[in-house]
Amino acid sequence: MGSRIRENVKHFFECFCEVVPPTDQSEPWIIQQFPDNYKDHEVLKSVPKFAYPYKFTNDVIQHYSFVLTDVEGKWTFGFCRHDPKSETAIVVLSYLPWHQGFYKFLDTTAVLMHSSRTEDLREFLTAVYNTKIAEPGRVFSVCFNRGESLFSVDIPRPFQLPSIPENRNLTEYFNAVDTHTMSLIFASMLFERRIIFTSKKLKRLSACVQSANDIIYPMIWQHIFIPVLPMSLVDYLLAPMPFLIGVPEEVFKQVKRSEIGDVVILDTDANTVETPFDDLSSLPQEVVASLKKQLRNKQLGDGVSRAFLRALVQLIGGYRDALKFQPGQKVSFDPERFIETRPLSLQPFLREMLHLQIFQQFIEERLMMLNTGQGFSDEFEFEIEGYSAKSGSKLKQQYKEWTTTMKKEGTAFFKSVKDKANPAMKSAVKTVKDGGKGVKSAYKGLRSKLKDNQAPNQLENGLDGGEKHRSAPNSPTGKRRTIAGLSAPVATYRKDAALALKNSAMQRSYSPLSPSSQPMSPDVMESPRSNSPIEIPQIDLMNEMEDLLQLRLDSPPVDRSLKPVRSLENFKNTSPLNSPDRWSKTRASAPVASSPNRFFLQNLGHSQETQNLLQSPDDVFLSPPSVPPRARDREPGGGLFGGGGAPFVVGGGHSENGDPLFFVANRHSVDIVKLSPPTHSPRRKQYQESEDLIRLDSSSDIDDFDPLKSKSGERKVPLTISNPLYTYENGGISNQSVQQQQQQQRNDQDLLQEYGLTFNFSANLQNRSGFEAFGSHGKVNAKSQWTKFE
Amino acid sequence: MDDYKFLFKVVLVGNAGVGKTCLVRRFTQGLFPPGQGATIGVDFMIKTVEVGNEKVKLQIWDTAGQERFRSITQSYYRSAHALILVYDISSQPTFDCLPDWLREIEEYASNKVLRILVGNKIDREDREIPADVGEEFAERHNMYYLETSAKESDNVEKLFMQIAEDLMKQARTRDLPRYDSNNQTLDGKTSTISDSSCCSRLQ
Repeated sequence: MGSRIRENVKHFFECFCEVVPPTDQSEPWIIQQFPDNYKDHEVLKSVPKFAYPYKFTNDVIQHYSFVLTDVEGKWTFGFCRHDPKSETAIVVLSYLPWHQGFYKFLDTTAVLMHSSRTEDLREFLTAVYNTKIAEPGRVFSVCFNRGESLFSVDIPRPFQLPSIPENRNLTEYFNAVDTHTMSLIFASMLFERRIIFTSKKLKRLSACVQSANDIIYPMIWQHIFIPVLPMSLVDYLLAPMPFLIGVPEEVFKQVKRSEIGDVVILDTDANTVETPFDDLSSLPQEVVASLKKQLRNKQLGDGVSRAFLRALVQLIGGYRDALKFQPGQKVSFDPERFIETRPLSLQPFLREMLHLQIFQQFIEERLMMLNTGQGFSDEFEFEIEGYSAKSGSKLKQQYKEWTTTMKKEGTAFFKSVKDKANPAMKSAVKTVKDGGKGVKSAYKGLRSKLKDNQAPNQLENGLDGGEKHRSAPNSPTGKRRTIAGLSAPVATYRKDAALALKNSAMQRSYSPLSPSSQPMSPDVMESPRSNSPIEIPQIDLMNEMEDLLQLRLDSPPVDRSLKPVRSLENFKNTSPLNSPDRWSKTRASAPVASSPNRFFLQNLGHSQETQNLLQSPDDVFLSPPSVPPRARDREPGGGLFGGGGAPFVVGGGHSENGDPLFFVANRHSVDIVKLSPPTHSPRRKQYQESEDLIRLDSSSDIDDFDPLKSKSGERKVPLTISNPLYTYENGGISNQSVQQQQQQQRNDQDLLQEYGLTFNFSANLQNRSGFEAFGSHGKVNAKSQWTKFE
Repeated sequence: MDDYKFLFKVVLVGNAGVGKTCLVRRFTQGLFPPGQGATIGVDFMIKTVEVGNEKVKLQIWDTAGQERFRSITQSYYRSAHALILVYDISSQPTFDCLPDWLREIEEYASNKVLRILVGNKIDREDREIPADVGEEFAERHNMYYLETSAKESDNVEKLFMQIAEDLMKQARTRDLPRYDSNNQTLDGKTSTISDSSCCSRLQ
């Protein structure tokens, strides 16, 4: 089928490799791998090439992904981690597109590679490899470090569009280029062009290419797809077929442009597109106009993804009108009818679109969903209903009648489809049945969100009657979309906040950073560390963070102040500051930057509310604004930013250089606040004013800022109701609260690891006599039991 | 870089197992770059041949996982100069699929891409599709027709030489821009020739 993601995946990962960089004399090579019995030589031969696509020096920890395509056109993802402190790169191969989860996995692995106990790494890999993958929406967790530590990853839910900032790829893409550029690329993909992305940074390159594919959902790029092209494969740019290839700048320099022919080139560093085509203007202009409008209006959360999804709904959602239901026969699609039933203005383009590989694949997939009884059940279909509710009900009636007939007749294929349904599908259906209320309620919630005041029950018409129609989560579509992300669901920060707040027994999520050394993850929290042979450095990490903070607190007020970068509202419109490079330039000229090794924030713009929040943290957090009295009293849509006008952090992400970014919501705008951690810092042990630490927290929980928590620990007012958009979460969520809360804590830990603080710390330790260094760099020699390649 | 006057891009299409890759490997006889088909989903091989007194470079592209397409659409071969549709003469199903593969191509009869139908595996004793059936099919769809055996090397050379000659002829009659190998400025313009251009001059 159209999906290029494998189904029935058995292992979290297929193979883990450590790769030695190339030298003048030698090619890069795999020094060790796990499991030893992974024997796909073609793949193993390719891994070093993709791990070192060209010779590069790296001064920050860099994560990126590459994609291998097998003979059936299915994808294997390779996730890479380059650490300037390590001589080698680590790579994990998996059939699962869960970027965030695998970067976390690599971070954990990197820590274990420095463990004094050499078995730790292998034990961890074995445990993860042998653990069954959890069902969508659940947590995949594995104990390691002899039961002392827990590795956990949230399995992406179905019905989840890539969301900013939760989805790393989309956030990176969105930060690198503006929405106009995204639209240009979107258009060129709809014409199935030969498309090249370039960047100096592998991380950006792979994220942008992956995201560009995510954005054409429900279609899937069917052609050559190489997010990072190694130098040795540069000739593949001559391919006459459509492609989407990420070319590192160094590699692109080797290319003779005249040989490539007609190609669309996006420079993701400069945000420029070079194209011989006029694809965006060739799209129906009404579609372009509404896309632009949507992109202007809403960018955070899944706003960007949804804007493109709606453009596609406008273009191809009408495929429904061309479906033919004949009892006893499979549902089929009539291309002519599809064209005829569309508005005149769309017809010329759609006629072209019929000849796209991605469109044909889309139709086949939809037909497959219908013919297997999955009905109209994914995010795309849901959007269509929002777009034209009328055709929806009529069609559903038709489909219902058709399915009824099919069932009555006991037609073989319906049954056989069921029998053939893969285990994952079955278990997912089970999840839903067994009280996967999350999925149900999230889906309902999404529906009600769009249909505003419609009662959820009303949606249970027609084909939604049977449980099996909910099985769409397992459809290839659903799966594919989970590329979106591992973290919390769409627009999570709002929902999570609500959830976490209700759960009065839990720790505050920023507490790990507090002086009492609250552990950062549940596992650490529960385990006495005394007899643990290795120190998984979460706790030390926190000390390190405290140092950063203390340093900042000691510095003059001007340096201390956290200032808004700029308002997100204007983010894309004021182009001079748009390109990532500008950021650093501005930073250089900002007064705060003059104090080296300081923990500072850029001040690139103004939003008074954010300024207040950030400049007077004590005021805000020790005497916080009053909790919104009753959210339901407020008009819909104003809830999120309503709470007495107090700004709060709604999300986090990274800037292009890996520095943390936080989104601070005000009543009318969202500010981006950027942190630049110092390269090193002295250790201090002052714990007062630790409440400030909250500002380092990238967590997206509003409850961090809930006054009730910091004061009394009583949380009587469920924040849920302060956000009318998410009222659907009021039911059936309490059982998820614990999980959500834990996830939050894990996120904190991930963030720290992501920024390399773990490793900064380990380095600091080593430089400090009197500390026992747990990081041994002699790791390469230590694992003789591993398969070696000479 | 090789010295050649024309570069032509040829795309192979057909069901799995009809011997597309074998055909090409036989033709290039080991002169191809190490195959990446198994890991990046596309493989290509290069061979330079001489037509008349001119060097012609053939780039032959083979995409993995075509089976997941019910038919190939125009965007797939938009930038190609020739399209080779391959079936297995000992396998009726691979022949029956030809109309599906062609469905899209047919709709664009004006497309200038050179089309060749190849019945492969004539070394097999269990032939299911008589040669005249294949030939008739090719004629009806305005294609060249050739039967080959990649195994025995029958007609393989001939197939690709024929393609090179035809494309040369096309290139000349259409009077497409041809550039001297030293002329850098003109060379730069080749990149702006539209996709339908029959050849691009490279150096």
